[in-house]
This record gives sequence, structure tokens and C-alpha cells, in this order.
Amino acid sequence: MSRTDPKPLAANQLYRPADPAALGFETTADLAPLPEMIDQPRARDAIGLGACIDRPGFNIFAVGSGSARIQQAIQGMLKTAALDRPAPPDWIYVNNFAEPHRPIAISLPAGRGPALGRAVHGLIEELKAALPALFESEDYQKRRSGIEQTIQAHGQQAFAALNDKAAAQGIAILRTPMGFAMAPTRDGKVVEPTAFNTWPEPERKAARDAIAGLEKELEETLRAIPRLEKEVRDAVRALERETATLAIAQPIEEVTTEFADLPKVLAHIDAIRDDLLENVQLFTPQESQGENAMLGAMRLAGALERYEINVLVTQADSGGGAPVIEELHPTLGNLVGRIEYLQTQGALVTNFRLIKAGALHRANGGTILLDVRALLTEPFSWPALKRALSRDQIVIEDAGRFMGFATTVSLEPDPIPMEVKVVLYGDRMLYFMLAQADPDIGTYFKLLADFDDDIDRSPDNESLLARMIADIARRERLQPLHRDAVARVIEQAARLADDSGKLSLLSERMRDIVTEADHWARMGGRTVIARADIDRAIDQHLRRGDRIRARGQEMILNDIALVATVGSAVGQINGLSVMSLAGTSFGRPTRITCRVRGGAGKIVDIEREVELGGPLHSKGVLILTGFLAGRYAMDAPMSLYASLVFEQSYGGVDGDSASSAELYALLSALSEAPLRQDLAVTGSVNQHGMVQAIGGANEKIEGFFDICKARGLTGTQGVMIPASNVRHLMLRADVVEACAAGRFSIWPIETIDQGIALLTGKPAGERGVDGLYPEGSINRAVEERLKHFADLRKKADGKADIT
Amino acid sequence: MSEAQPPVFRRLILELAPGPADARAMRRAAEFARDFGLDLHGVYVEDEALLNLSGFSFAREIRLPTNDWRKLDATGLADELRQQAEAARLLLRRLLDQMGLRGGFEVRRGDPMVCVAGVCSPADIVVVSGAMRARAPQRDPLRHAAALAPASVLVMPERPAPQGGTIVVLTDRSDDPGVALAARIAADRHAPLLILTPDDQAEPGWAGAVECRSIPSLRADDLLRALTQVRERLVIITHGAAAITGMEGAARVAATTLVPVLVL
Repeated sequence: MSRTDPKPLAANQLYRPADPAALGFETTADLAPLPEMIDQPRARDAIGLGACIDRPGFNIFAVGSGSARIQQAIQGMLKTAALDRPAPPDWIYVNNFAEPHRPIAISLPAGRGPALGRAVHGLIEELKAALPALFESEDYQKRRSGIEQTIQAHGQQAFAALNDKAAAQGIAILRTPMGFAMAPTRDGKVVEPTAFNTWPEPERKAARDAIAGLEKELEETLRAIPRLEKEVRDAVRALERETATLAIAQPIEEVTTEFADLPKVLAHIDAIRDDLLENVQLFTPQESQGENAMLGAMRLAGALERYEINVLVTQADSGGGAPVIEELHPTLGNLVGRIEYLQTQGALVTNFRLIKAGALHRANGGTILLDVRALLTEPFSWPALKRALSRDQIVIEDAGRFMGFATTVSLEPDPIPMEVKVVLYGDRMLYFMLAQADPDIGTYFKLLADFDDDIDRSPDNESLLARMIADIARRERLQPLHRDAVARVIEQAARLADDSGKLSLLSERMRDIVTEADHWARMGGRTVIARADIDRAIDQHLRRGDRIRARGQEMILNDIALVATVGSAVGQINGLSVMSLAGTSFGRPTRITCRVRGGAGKIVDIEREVELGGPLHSKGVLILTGFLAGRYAMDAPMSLYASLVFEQSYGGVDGDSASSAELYALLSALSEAPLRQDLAVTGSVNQHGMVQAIGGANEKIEGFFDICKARGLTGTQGVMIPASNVRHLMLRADVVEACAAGRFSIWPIETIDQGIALLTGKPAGERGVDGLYPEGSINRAVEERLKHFADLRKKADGKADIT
Repeated sequence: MSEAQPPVFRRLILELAPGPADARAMRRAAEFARDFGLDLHGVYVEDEALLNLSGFSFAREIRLPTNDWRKLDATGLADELRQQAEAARLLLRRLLDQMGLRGGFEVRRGDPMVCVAGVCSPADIVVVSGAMRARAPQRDPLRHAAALAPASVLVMPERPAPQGGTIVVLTDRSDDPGVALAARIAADRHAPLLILTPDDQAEPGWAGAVECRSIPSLRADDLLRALTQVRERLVIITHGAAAITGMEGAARVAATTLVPVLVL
């Protein structure tokens, strides 16, 4: 099994620098902007297809790490595609004069909504001035007065005739606070009751009879008054309409001429005209009691609001092309629009002018981008979006209403036909979870645009990344970066990708670094960001998140957390783990120990027993059983009892990256060969003893290096990593320097045999033709120990049988 | 009103009769008072004859707008008169406040004609409205106004036309003090003055934009004919002319021209 003995990696294998000279510019100011996203053929094709297919359900779900970069990339592509598409129509809401609670939606050719709004507003403003003046004019007043007098004269004549008739019979008709009454008179004056009682009875009877007779006529005369008043009202109304018709005709004509090509608009203007004539009294001078001029003007303005136009969405200032809208806060109202309310005298009131557009309205005819996380965390928004996609309509929904919170009278605006390409973007995990939880996802989002998180590191791609960095600097209005600084960012991109042969595309993190570096450059009075500024930004970022790492290191250095960096011990090894906390990751060594004895062929993972170990960790441990069973004592049952533990580990452990370390500890415990404590180990292992790649190699190495460095580098210390992880190394400069100086070593390990040999100083040993491992080898010692355990078990089982 | 000196008016007297307060008439009066610098004084008269009605066993009242008959009750009637007076007072007070006018309000009990006459002085103008006749059939406002000497009477049209225009004075002689009053009003408002008189020898004795026209007579018909081509703001009928034109004539002129007519 053993291959060639591993050798420490050379310094140039620990870090792959970028060549500033190969970048071909002095500063990023020299670079042209990137035309589109960097090297994402799969996602680009999906988005391109989605942009072209105008069929239901062909919406796009873009997934990948780093929402912002996906959003920027998509937005750039979509905006380019949108330029070739026609601008969608404007949408307006107008009052429905027949059913005011159901405002009417009208579409107009792109950009003409505001013009209609201005035209109608101008019409009303003109009428506001012209009609009152007309109604106050002498001519109108005389005509109106004439009408009133003519009709009222009938009533007055009737009263006068009755009055005269009553007077002739010695009776007066008197006005009382609430009506009329009659009284006997003498010499034109009302007689007092006492005087009346002195009259002879025949005269008194005659007066009473006369009053009784006149009362009926008075009643009839009064009954005619409402009819006369109605006649006056009708006649005045007809006069108002006639007067207003003439005044309105010309301004209305001007509006209809401008919009003669739009039948729905013309129909609405007809409705305005009819309503104006029907309610022309709005423009007549009001004489309500106690109303001052300002209140009157406010009342008039409120009443005339119904003629205005609510321009919901317009392309007037869009600059052409289809809209590409991003809604960062997709609440239900922000998404499908909302109806606002005004508080008036303690009541909530609304009208069609308080209908506000949602993002779907603004994006109608184009594309809307939504962060899926934001969408899913807003109540009602996801179902509302699906309903809109299902009906191809935007219906304004009031969450408060269907939750029963609002009971005030509201509106039911016309739904607006929807033709929107919806692009959701977010983490892959969200997509997969949503796909599992909601079967509709496939119906409404047929196109998956999967963004790679990194790209191969080639000179071309380094140049592309340099342009991306230049774009960031331009967009964020930062100082340009010197090419050395760009090279450092490229190297950091490789580190972020966890692979010296890849470049991370997580632009948010790079933007953070460059932004902070810009700050340090400005503080240093530099107009160009230097490599040192990038270094400082990276260091400062690490330092800010360093508290927990430092405390852990302090505990090790103070021998509170026991980790040896010198000497050797049986069944004890330094494993390495990575902690990721809020954007920072760091490695830390942990002592792993193993104890063995005869038993029933079981390796106990103490972490799992106490439920601190995750499934992947347990899997790694179980693989050890497979390794032992396949390699040793194949002619006897496995009679081992071994326990493995991460010492002083009080949190959860997961992943199988410590499985090789656990195996070394197990082999050491079985062979009783001490393991070097100046080495730390990482790597998973398979059942054949091959060491496999793990994640976080850089952090793990640096974590052990920091401990050793703090205690003093001995020159023998180092870290064993899977050979397949060598390409991932982008180590810190101080680690590289120490390795170059021979004070620290990184060992690439391919097999367990290589590793155990390095850790024990003894050969692992290969099985000879005699079927045995060589004397003095680790494998021989392990196998003999296992056989010994098997014998013990056999004896124990025999005794048990006898008894 | 035959004094040698033109009258100087201080108050516009607004008689408030039983029945719902006429806010529009009140506002018209207030606007006139404001334009001519007068105080507006409301007089509400509790008609004694009305209060006595409940003493008749057969007396009953038809109530509006339901047109149902009800027996008159002295206490109820007095309460309603009091409430109506209070409503009129509040309405007038609000109007005065809104228009920044000075004024007053009083309640009197007795014969309306006597009560209002008792309030008036030569410095007062009593405003009467053409609509009053329909609201208070027992009193002909014009006849009523004619009895209000020594005050002058303003016949207010129900729907006055917009203000602005000529001050027109109808007089039987150009040296009537009423003409001097009209001239002063015109001068204060920078308005033209038109003197209409049957005296074809009359000469205007006042500076400014004064025109003197001869008319056939002082009757309302001739006055209206003369006003056909004039955009007038106020028509003043001097004391001497009023004897011919009459209150009925003044009322016709007001109703036809929609211009207030001041009868001196």
C-alpha cells in the first residue's frame, strides 16, 4: 500500500501568486468596463432563453452564492435585452362614475399617460375658473332670477290671493316659528282673545267658520310649495346645464382632439363631461352657512378630484425599451400595489387616486427581479405572485382586508393584464427547499439559471477578474487600484475559492476588501490603492472577527485546552477543525485520543454516543471499522472494542475530515506505537486507506501553525494534509515564509500507510508472500494485537459456553 | 328725508321675522354693510299677535314641512320663538365674525312694524327682501318698510348680480341731498355716477365721472328703460323721487336689475 515517502511541500506549492506584470495595466482606471457577467455560460444561456420566450411559466430562477453578484449580472443582461423590446403601455386609473368603488384601468401608448393627466387637470382647472365666473355673471344671474321669480310668483300670488281672501273675511294669516296660523282681525289688526270673547256669538262663530274654511285652502296652498320649489330647482338645473354645456364644450374638444386615437380615453372624457353637467352645481358659488373661502376651496378641490387621472405607471421618462425593475422590499403592497387611505374626520376614506402602483405594475411589459429570500419572508407575497402569474393579471390585494383587520369601505380596481418576466434570485438551498415544499415552482419558473461561484484560474480569467474589480471601484467611486493591489485581490479570490486554481466570483466580499482598502489608501494620502492597502484590509477583516480564535489559542497556550506540539504519545493525535462564524473562518487543533481493548468488534464514537457528533462524522468513524476489517485479521472475527473522542470538545462535531486522524490514533493505540505530537493531521479516509481531500485546508494549517509559532517553531512541526488538497493551498505569507525557511512543513499524504509511517517513524509495512506484515512494522503490530483480542474473545466465549 | 344735508348712514337694520332664518338674505345684507362701511344690526321681533293666538280656543297651526295641524300652545310657541331668535343671533354673530363687521342683535316683542320703527333713526337703513313676502304673508314688506320712517330702506334682490359698475341716482331735482349722497358713494368707490332726472335743465354739480340723463318720468318703467344700457352697482332713489316711484316700483327695479335699490 505504501507509495513513495511523502516530502514536505516546497514554498511555491503553498501559495500561487498572481503576476501583476501579466495583467497588462498600471491601474484599474486603465480598464474598460466588463460588458456582462464573467464566464457563466450555463446561467447566461438560461437567462438568454428566458428573455426570449414569451410563454407562460418561462420565468427564471437564478441560484448561486452571493445574491448581489447574481442580481448585478442578471440585471446587466436583462437591461441589454430590454433595449431591443418595445416600451410597454402606460396605465392609468380613472374614476368610475357609475360605480365609484370600481375604478377603471385604461392603457395608453407608452408615455402618454402624463399628457392625459395634464390635459384633464388643465381642463378642470380651466373650468374651475370659468364656470364660477359664468355662474356669477350678470346674464346668468338675471336669467336665473327671472326663472325663480316667475315660478315663485305663482306661490306668492297664491299666498296673496289667500291673504286677500282671508282679509276680506276678517282673518289674518300669521307666520309662526314652525308654520302658519290664522287669527281674527278687526280694522286690519289681529284681535286679542279677550276682545274676541266680547264679540257677539254670531260674529265669533262667523270668524271660526271662516278660519275653518280658510285652513283647507292654506293647506292646499302650502302643499303646492314643494312642487314649486322643485320646479325652481329643475328649471335652475336646466339653466345650469345649458350654461355649462356651452362653457365646457371648447375645453373638452381640445382634450378629445389630442386623444382622438384612443377610444377608451374618449369614452372616459365623455363620462367626465356627463358628470360635470350632472354635478355642475359644484362650480356654482356656494352659500353654505359659516363656510369660509378656504374651506369652500378645499371642498371644491376634493369634489373635483374625481375628474383627475391617476397615472399608475408611465414610460414617459423610461428612455425607451422594456422596463427592468428590481423590488428590494417585496411586501404585498410593494409587489401588487396598494390602496392608501386618508383619515377624514376620524374615518378612513379612499378613492381611485390613492391607488399606488406595485413593482409588478412598473415591470409590466418587462422584467422584475426579486430576491427570493426577501420574497419568501414577506407574508402573502409569494402566493400573490403565483396568483398573478396564474391569472396573468395584477390584482391589488389588501392584506388587512382579507385578514379581517380593515372593515372600512375600499375599492376594487380593475385588474391589469400582466405580461411580466419574473426573475427570482437567491441561494441554491432556498431553491431546492422551495422546489420540495411548493410543487408550483416548476409550473411558474421553468428556467433554472445556476451561477457558478468560481471560475478556473487562468491568465484570461485573472484579467476578467481585474476588470470586475475595476468595475467595483468605479461603481463604488473608489480610488483606482494599482495592478499589484489587483494581483493581491486575485490571490485573495483564489483563497476565497479555497483553491489556488480557481477564482471566487463572490463580488460582495471583494467589494468589501476594496472598499476598506480605499479607506486605508485615503488615510495614507494615496490616490491609488496599493497592495499594502489590500493586505491591511484583509488583515483588519480577520482581526475584527478574531476574538474567538484568539481566546481558543490562548486556552491552548495556557494548557487549558490540551494540545501538544512536541513529543509523542500512544493513541493521541492532533486533529484539525474549522470554525466558521459570521463570515470568518479559522482552524484550531484538537486532541483526538483512542483507547482499545478486546470486545465485540465495535468502535465507539463517543461524540456520537453523546449526540455531539453529526452524521458525517459518524460515517467517518464507521469507515474505520471497514478499513480494519478489510486489512487485518481476516481469518478471525473482529474482537476489538475501541473508543474515540475529541478531547475537550463541548460543541458539535461534524464532517469526516478527522477520520484519518482518528484512524492514526486507533492504529497507534492498537500497535502501541507513539504518534508525533508536533504534527497535526487532517483528511478523510476511505475503507482502502486512501486519504481524501477535505475543506478548509488553509485555515486548518494556519490554526496549527499559529499555536506552534506562539510556542516557538522547532523545525519539525507541520501539518499532514491530503495530497489532493495541495492545489487548494493559498496560505498566509508567514506560513509560507516559515516553510521556505524549513521551520514548518506541510506534508501531502496519499495513504494511511504514508501517514502512519510519518507519525510513528516506523514503516507501515506491506503484507509479504507469507501473508504476514514485516516484523517491526505498524501493520504487523496492529494485526497481532487484533489477533490477540480475537483469542481473548474466543477464550472468553469458550468459558461462557462451559458455564 | 328732505333735509338739506345728505344723510350719513351708520347701521344696516336687518329685521328677522318668525320662520327659519334666511342665511342667504343675511349674507347679502352683511356684504352690503361691509361694502358701505355700515354696522349690521339684527332685530328679531316676537310678534305679540302671534303670542296671543294661543288664547283662542280654536287656534291651531299648520306645521312645515309635514303640513300637519297642531293646536297652538303658548309655552311651546314662546319656546320656539326664543330658540329661533337664538339661532338667528348665532348666525348673525358668525357672519359678523367672518366678515369682520361690527354689529348687534336684539330681540323685541310687540307689533313688528312698531318695534322695527322704534329701533330706526335717520342714520339707519332697513333692509327688506323681496322674498320676505312669501315667508311672512301677513306682512307686505314694502308696505311695512314704507312705515319705517325716518330710516331709509334698502330693497335687496334675492340674487344680486356681481358688484362693480355705476352708481345710479333717480331724483326729481339735481340739488336733492340724496344726489350728494350718491356722489359721495361713487367717489369713495371710484365709480361713475349717473343722475337720472326728468328735469332736463339739470346740471351736475359734482366733480368726477358724472353723467346726467333726462328721463320721461320717475316711474319704475322709465327707470328700467333708462337702465337698459347701464351696468349699475347701486340704484338710489331720492326722497322726492320715491314718492312717485314707490316702494313697489323700487322692488321691481331690484328684481329686474338684480341691483340693490336704496330708497331714501
